[in-house]
Amino acid sequence: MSLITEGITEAGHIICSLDREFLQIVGVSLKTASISTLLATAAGVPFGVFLALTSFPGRRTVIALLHTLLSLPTVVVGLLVYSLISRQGPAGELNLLYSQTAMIIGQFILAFPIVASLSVSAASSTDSRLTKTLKSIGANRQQSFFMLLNEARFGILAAIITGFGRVFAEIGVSMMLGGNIKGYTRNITTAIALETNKGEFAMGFALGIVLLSVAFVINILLVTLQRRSK
Amino acid sequence: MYRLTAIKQCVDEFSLTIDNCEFKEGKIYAITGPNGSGKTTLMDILTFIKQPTSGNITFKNRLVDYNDSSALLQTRRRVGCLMQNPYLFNMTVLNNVAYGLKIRKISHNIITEKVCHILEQLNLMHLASQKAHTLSKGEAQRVALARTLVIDAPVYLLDEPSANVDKANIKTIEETLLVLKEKKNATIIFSTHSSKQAERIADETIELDMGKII
Repeated sequence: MSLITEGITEAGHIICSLDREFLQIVGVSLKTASISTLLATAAGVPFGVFLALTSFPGRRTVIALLHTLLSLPTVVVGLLVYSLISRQGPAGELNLLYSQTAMIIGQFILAFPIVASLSVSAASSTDSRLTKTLKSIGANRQQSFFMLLNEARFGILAAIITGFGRVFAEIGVSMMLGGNIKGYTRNITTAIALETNKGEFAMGFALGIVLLSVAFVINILLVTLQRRSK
Repeated sequence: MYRLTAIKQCVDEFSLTIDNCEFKEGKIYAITGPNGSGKTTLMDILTFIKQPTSGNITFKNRLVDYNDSSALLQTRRRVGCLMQNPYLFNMTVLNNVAYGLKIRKISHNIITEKVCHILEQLNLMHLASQKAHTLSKGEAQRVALARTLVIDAPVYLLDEPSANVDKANIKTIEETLLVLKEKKNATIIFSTHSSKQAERIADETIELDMGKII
């Protein structure tokens, strides 16, 4: 019990003193998760809205595939990207392995199906009269797309936040593709794993508190958005 | 304005058949008939939202080509349309009414002037900054009508424009439509269940039953 209380007390000290290593680790997590979520948003939202608005042969299969990818294990993504960017892989010459770029690629693959499939749901759940109304007012495809984004904005924001939550808390991709290099690719989750192995619980607890705080903020945001959308 | 020739529109088991029908410029037409008689189907055809199963439509002496999406959009933009059970966007009344003008790239000053004018005309100015989803059914109907009439169009298609609206505001709506006809020589085609309303403002009444003009 004393291990936990001492660890949490020490963790409080690390957080309050704004320890340099601690801030660097949190910074790496925020940077990679933000960039990968941004890229997943840029690709996933238009793709999701497109799937919701159009009908083509195989559309349902694509949506089913997206839903399947929601539960994609992070280590499988790590393995897949590793095989592509390792020295023997087809993209080995790019020297991406054990870099933040590699982490971002892996996290993008994790976030994309989440953002896309939740965007499909958000866009599909808009009022059935919306498309006809837009046509009747004389909106072109682009204008209709942006109005649909506006009408589904709370659902789409929730999709983006969920995507961010997923990549911020993942460990498999970061460990396998980032390599947990101190001051470069070490992020919150890989640092917690390392510190626990070393028996240095204080830093682990401090980082765990940050992770939990972010999860808490994300949940508050999601609940607020759900309330607003009603 | 419109000429419909050998129009047939099949929706599930219902079919609307119009051999020949013409709507002239500067006139008000009322389309009446019981529920399921084909009023809304006819309206959808006239707004170019639905392509008829067969037949031809001429609008302003030009045959409507449903395969040319760009030309179809331009034609659609020349029609002010109010849907039955209209949908308002999740934004303020002011922005809802201004939307049709914004997408037509009309300057900000003119948009403000036109929107304020129509809101005053339909007694909606006090609701301008209110969110659309907070409105009553009658208010929402009038806002949707304002969104339609704010657009300068040679023809307005209004599917039950006074549905859910109280008597005082029905009078305001009817007066507004008559002013539109007089001042802008607009063609107005509206559907209604009220034969009295048709008598009050329409120049001609088209009665539908079982998908046919009677």
